[in-house]
Amino acid sequence: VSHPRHGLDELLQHPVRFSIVALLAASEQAEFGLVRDLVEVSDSVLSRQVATLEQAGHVRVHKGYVGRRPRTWLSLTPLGRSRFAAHVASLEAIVRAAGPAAERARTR
Amino acid sequence: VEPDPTNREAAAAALAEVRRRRRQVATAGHHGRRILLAWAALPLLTLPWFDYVPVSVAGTMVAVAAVLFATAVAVYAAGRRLVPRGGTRRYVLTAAAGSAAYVALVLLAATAARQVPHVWTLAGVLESLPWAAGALVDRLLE
Repeated sequence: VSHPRHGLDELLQHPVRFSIVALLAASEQAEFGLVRDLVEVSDSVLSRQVATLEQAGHVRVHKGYVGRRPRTWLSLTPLGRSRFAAHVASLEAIVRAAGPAAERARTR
Repeated sequence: VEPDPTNREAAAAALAEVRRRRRQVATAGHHGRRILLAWAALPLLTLPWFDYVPVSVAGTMVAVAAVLFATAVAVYAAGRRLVPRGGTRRYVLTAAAGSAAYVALVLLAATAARQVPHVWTLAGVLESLPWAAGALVDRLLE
């Protein structure tokens, strides 16, 4: 039986990337500035991590205008959504699997 | 493979982060609910006019109010910075139910206008219900 950690997505092990994707997983789309504020990172850090996620096909970036103001929108791709769901399922499996084992170790 | 307790703690922390981000999205995505509540207020505030002023005047007032209101909603919606997952689908479903109810209620009210006192006020209250229900569902799913 393989350990549930094998189901984890390596790209999502990075804490900032994980926070970005967790935020986008609960959204249809979110504006770049809002994601920056909520994840509490700088523009450059967010740009770098979003570029990595975009290259991997996890995140879609699209630009538009609200009036004359340019806006950048972020959303998860279907691939990103399924990878995140699998990643979260693995995390839940790790927590579940560790429960009885940790209990056995404490009582040993 | 023996599970590593450190892994378990890290996994539990990551799951807590997922829940935290969901809460943030729910808080930041309240604009859709405001729009639904605003649509609930429109018939409540405009349809009763038919009970108190001549039909031609009330009809003009309702049409002007609807156009101004739709423009304001469109501007407000365009300024949204986040759309929660499922928000668009909930809005479209509520709008479809609200629009169908509007047509049915206006036809019924026009038919029963002479028999039922304050029928347009009643229609306004009933028409606001689908929108208010949509807003309530949105709040419960938060």
